[in-house]
Amino acid sequence: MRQAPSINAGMPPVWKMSLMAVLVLCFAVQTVLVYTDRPSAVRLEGEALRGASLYQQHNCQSCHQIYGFGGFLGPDLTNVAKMYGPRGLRSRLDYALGSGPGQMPIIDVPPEDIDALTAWLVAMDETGTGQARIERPDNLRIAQKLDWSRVPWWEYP
Amino acid sequence: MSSPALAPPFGLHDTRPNALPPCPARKYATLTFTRGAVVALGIGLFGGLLSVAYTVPAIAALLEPLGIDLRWTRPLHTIFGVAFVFLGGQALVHRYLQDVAGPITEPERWRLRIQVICWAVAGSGIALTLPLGITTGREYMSFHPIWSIPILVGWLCFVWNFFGVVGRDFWRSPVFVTMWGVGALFFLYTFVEQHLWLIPEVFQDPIVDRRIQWKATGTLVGSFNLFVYGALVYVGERLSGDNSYSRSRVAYALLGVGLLNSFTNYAHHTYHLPQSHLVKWVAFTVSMLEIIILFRAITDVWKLALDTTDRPFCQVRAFFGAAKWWSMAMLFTSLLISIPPLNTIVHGTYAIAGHAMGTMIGIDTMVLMGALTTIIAENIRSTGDRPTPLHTGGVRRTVFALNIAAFGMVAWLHVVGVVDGVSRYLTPQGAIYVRPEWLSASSGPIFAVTGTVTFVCFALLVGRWLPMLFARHPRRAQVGGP
Repeated sequence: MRQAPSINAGMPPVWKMSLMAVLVLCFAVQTVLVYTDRPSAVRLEGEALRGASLYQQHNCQSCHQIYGFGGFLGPDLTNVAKMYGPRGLRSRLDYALGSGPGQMPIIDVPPEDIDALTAWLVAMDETGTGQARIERPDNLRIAQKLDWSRVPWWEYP
Repeated sequence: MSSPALAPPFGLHDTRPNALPPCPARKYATLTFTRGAVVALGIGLFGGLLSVAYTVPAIAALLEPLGIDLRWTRPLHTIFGVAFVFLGGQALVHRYLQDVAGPITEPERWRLRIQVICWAVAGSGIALTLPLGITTGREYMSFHPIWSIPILVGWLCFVWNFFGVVGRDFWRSPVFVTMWGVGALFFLYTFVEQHLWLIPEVFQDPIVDRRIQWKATGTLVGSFNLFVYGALVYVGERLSGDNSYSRSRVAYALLGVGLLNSFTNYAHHTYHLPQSHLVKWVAFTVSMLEIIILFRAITDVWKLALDTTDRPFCQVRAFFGAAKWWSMAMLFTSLLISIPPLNTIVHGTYAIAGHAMGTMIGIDTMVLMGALTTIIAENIRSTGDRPTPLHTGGVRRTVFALNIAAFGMVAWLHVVGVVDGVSRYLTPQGAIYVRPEWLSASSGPIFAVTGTVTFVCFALLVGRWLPMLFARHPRRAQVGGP
């Protein structure tokens, strides 16, 4: 009678190849899904594009986040344009970069660069919502109880 | 009676079925990558120490006028932390090549030289240019893209040499060779993918750019994890003297689940990005498969807890044992943060930083510290010294203190993250989130204290290694060089 192979028996090469083929296929499918996903509603151009480059050039993501990507010392910047409006945001950027509140270093940038950063943050705000927050103050009572059924699964409020 | 200098290193059993005579150049490569890993760890720890100090406002005020701020200390910490893992993995791979490959050929020797020179140039360049503010501002890849060229050239040389030795028998090799081979190839893929933002069409679409950045970063972590897990299996087998595990179906089954997770579950970091729900569901489903690995980790820890065998302290076993506890804890938190409502609350908070640091320090670093200890033990054996400095009571206490301090830091980051996440969620959309005052006052100092103790413990452990790794040995001539 043929004996069943032990669970610790050597894995035949053809099984290893099949396993790797399945895994590579899974990775390929995931890659295709990511690369063929819908493009963003916003395309960076002009000042906004320069603002994106400046954000990287000054390594702002060491302390700040966009969609949860970056450091944790400073506030998330995804939707700051919604909070302050473009004009308010520009003056706050001017103040923050020039005086370095808290642990933020003073970053010497010309006014046109502040305009570019503002344009970029306004564009980022239009792409979506970066953090989960309750929608309206009258929802506060529901949220304070942390009713899990009201916490959004996929889309933020 | 055999000479002590020729005996296997402390706690190790040489299980090579048909051991080849050691090739001096391969041995030199192992030592070179071990030294490189230790240097990278030192630079990464230095960056980490400055970064945690910077979280305390009073200290930040002192550091900033000196030109020290998080814009370069954090990338220095993350880049060289990753470099430590890759270089440590390289050291173990080359240690394995010592076992199975014969004398090095001339072309191999040249590729090895190019690899070492390219990486030394890239490492020095990155360490010098980051503090000068030369950066791309990308997570894990903040260095100027010019340094990517020597990194890639060096990696191609490594891949060529590695598959040149194991290629023909790759499918008949143990699981750790499969891990290293897959990790080596996936690194090439992910490294190229990390640079797609240089294409204007990608950079101009901020959401596509972030989708790709998360994907590439997830695969990068997956690829270095493969080097770490491979090192763990390789050294674990040599410790136990039993080489059946690395060829077993169980090992390959766990590799399958782990690999699937490594390459696709990164998307649980992207639930909140505007993208197809299908990608998110795939990530969620695959993430939940980690329950299988968690079950295995719990079983391992249970066995470890029940094992009361009285054996002399061995640094390798201590690090590996600690890694098992960390694996169980981090898998548990990983599963929790993959659950969408919880992810919604805590993503983008210190809880995620705590999870990343827990896996990096608790799993990757513990495994590599243990694995590199075996190489150092062998080295001092081969140079006539005794390996006892590696396995003293002082080392035991330091390893224990290191784990306690690191656990304190990671646990605190989780607490801060959860409190931040819940408080932030309760702040209406459009309003500015203000962290609770008690948390603001205590967050930085506790992080700084636990981080500094962790740094000191690492420094004490690595400080013991340095004379063994870099000292001029009387028998250095036997080691040779490529």
